[in-house]
Amino acid sequence: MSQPLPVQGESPLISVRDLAVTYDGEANPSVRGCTFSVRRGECVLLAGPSGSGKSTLAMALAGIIPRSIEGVVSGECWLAPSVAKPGKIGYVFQDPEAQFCMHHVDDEIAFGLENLQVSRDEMPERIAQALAAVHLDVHPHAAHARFSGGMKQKLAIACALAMESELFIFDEPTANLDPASTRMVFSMISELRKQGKTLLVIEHKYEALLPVVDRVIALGQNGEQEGVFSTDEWCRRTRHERKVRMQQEIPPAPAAPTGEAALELCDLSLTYGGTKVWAGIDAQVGRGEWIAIVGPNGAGKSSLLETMAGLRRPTQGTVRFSGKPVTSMSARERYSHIAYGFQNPEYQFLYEQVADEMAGRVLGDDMPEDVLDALAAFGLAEHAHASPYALSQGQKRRLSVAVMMRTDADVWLFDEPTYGQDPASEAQILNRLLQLQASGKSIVTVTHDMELVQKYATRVWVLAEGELLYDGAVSELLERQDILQRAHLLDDILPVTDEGPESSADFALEEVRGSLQHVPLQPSLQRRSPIGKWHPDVKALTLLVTAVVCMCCWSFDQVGRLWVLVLVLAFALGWCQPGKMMKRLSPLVIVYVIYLWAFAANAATPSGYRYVHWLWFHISWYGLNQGLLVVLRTFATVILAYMLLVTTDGTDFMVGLSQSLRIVPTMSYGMMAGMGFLGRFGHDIETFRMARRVRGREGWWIVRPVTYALPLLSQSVRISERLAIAMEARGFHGDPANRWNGRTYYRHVALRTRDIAAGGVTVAIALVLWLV
Amino acid sequence: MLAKWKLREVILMVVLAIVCGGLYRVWDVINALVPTTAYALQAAMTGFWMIAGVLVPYIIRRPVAALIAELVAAAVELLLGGQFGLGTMESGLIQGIGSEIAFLIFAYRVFNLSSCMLSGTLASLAYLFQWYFQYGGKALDTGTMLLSIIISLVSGAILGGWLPKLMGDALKRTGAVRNYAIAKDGRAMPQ
Repeated sequence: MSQPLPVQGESPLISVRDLAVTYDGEANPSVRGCTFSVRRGECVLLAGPSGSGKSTLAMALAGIIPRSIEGVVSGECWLAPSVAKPGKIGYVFQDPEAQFCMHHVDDEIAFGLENLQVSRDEMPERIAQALAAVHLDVHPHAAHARFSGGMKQKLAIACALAMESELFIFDEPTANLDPASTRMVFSMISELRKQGKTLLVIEHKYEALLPVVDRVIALGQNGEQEGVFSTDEWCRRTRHERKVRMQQEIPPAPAAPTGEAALELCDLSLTYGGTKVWAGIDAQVGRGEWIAIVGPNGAGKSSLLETMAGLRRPTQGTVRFSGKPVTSMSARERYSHIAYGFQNPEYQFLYEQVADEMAGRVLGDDMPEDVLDALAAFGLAEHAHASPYALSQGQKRRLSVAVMMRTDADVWLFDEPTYGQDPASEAQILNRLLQLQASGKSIVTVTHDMELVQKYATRVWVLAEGELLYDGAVSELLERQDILQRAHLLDDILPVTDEGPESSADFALEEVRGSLQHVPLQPSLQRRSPIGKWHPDVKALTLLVTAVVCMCCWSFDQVGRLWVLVLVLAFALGWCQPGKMMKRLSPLVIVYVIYLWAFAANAATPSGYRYVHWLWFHISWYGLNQGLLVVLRTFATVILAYMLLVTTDGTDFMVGLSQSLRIVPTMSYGMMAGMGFLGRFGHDIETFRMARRVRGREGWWIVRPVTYALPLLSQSVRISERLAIAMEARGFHGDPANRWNGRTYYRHVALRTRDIAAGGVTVAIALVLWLV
Repeated sequence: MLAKWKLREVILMVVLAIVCGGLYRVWDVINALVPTTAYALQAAMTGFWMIAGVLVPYIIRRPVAALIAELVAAAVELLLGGQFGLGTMESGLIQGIGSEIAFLIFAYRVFNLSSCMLSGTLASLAYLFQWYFQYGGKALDTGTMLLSIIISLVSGAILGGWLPKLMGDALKRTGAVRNYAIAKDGRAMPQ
């Protein structure tokens, strides 16, 4: 083991001595004995197996522990004054989804600047510079939700650059990315180093990055620092280790395809939300084959796999299992032949105890031997009583595979089987699959990992540009430069050089450019209307009060008068288009007709009113009138709601809460960030329901509603924590977060006297119309 | 009062409220399919629209958590195209106040089955005012009305109080909320 290199020449940026980090509620430190320093302008790789505490160490250096995550950092940790200020350490996280809190590119970059209290006039300039520096050629006001993973990571880097960060920490930034996007990020790292930034990189597949790495800090399995190495030393060391590992590996079982097809895909097409995902797919999965589906992010690989499993109906074409269309088989029959592993193993859990999950029923305290044996085979024996959700990522995946192994399926479909796995657990799962393959089962995996493809797959499908570009042997694919490039697969193989950005990552960007640049520059008609220019929060409050007044109308006269007000607001002042509005609100009409009938047929009639008895109904004009009253006043509030939504910008609304109404920024920006979750909600639910279908437990929400919802809830909690950590890492703590005037604002949401006056007048008119 | 909230509590509140808002929207649809003549069943469904008002305060244990969570959940229900328009926000406000009062009575120190069920019941009670005056409750004959009121209150206690508490407890067992007040042995957050 080598000692930390002596500090020479320039003073270090960070220097730690005997650093240890212990999380709250844990007895032992997750990281200990770390002694090293990072010099200005260096690129340091932080290496070590999964669970060795690399992220923990990085988060302690960045101050995230103990600021955002409770824990104790002991030992000495010295930061140079230039990086001890907020925003001077830029942190790029693994999950590109869970590090943004705004919706638009400019707001996102400005968020960090606001935290530093940069003046508003300076912001556009700094935003433009940051975007140019990362070569992100998109409209500054583009919505980033639809960016590719690589672009999102670039945006995260731009956010840090705008804050003039000196130290950049990359925490597995490419774990979710396809090879081309990975390359995009690696090129950025190389460029930042050339600009003299200091870099600390955590990365599993770092080989391509080694040319720009100056030193390597290695952590061991138990979180102890193993040493600090020069890159050459590290290469020599790992070359030896890799050799040993290669010798241990079982060579892939010789493919024994019998020629008989297990799954047949005939002229398969999928259209989703009006856009074509892929089309014209004809292919077969033979018995004893291992097929890898590869392709760029967003090519529809997962949806192809879901279609193969009968979880998603293709727009056209059929999938056949042993000659039978899968969609015509009952779910029970289908999933006794086809096993499916989701990318997020949590979605497949049904029980609250690991052993129950394994046994497929609630066991209580007495555990049958065979269940314990099965758990032991996957290294889960000591967690038998734990909650499946409390396991580590690797353990969760192993448990889901172990559960799947109980069925005797013929076709095994796996979405990213090695995602988030350390090498040991990856090997364990892949070896299991190899055994299955050797016994004549068919395996299909979706993956970004070209190494896995080369080692295990007997055949590879390349899905890109909406079609199956390639279906054939792996070795031949590697010679087809054209296809590799079109499918963003090329760059995995080439090392990063000091030459700067090149590679097909630029092609990838070229493609998205066209689709992203047309941002609606002109705000909609409704946003330009008098109501659209009204202060969003004052408007919302005013309309809410108006709605309450509407709901309190007891007579047709009152309702009629308030309807006049509502119509004037919506059409004369809000410039809503009646046609569009009616189209949008038409589904509600059915609901209202049902209400009307309910009142007409059931209302109690005061004496003197006529009614008819028919079957068990008590039909009266009086009831119908009462119902009409309820429907009319409810519908008035629906129109108000519609108008509020079309005339208001959500970001202005949230920012205005702090800027004008002086609500603490943690609340408004936290809500803003949390609301971003709404966009992925639909997708999450869909996947979640598919997972339940595979396990034949669709109806469980009636019997066990709480357990049923658990995967969705625990996932939500995890995302919220990650988001909060990412926001705080960007300087959103202390005054900028806790005092409305402790930050500057990029958006100017002006509260003028006339906004308040308009609110007062509207409410007054509503009350007068209600009273007279 | 709001300044004490940690960022992760705010985000969790919103995210859980979004989940609840989504569930409310599903419930709206189911509710529209239930024959409106089945008053008992209609009333029995009431409590489900209160779960955010207990689930969130039960996990983060802060004043006004119930009110804000119920408001956000209502806003989400509205955004997803709920049939009640801005009336949804009014319901959210009223029910949120109901939920909040229960925890206020216990000075935000007690978060157990009783306080949760009381919270669900009070939320239901608050909603009943709206139901009576605005959604046509007063048009019913006395017998049906009383039956509806009683069933609604019980539904509030069970669907709106007990169910979200079960959800919170199950989440606690998964270890997912160990950084939140619920994991700290039932203690309330220091005010």
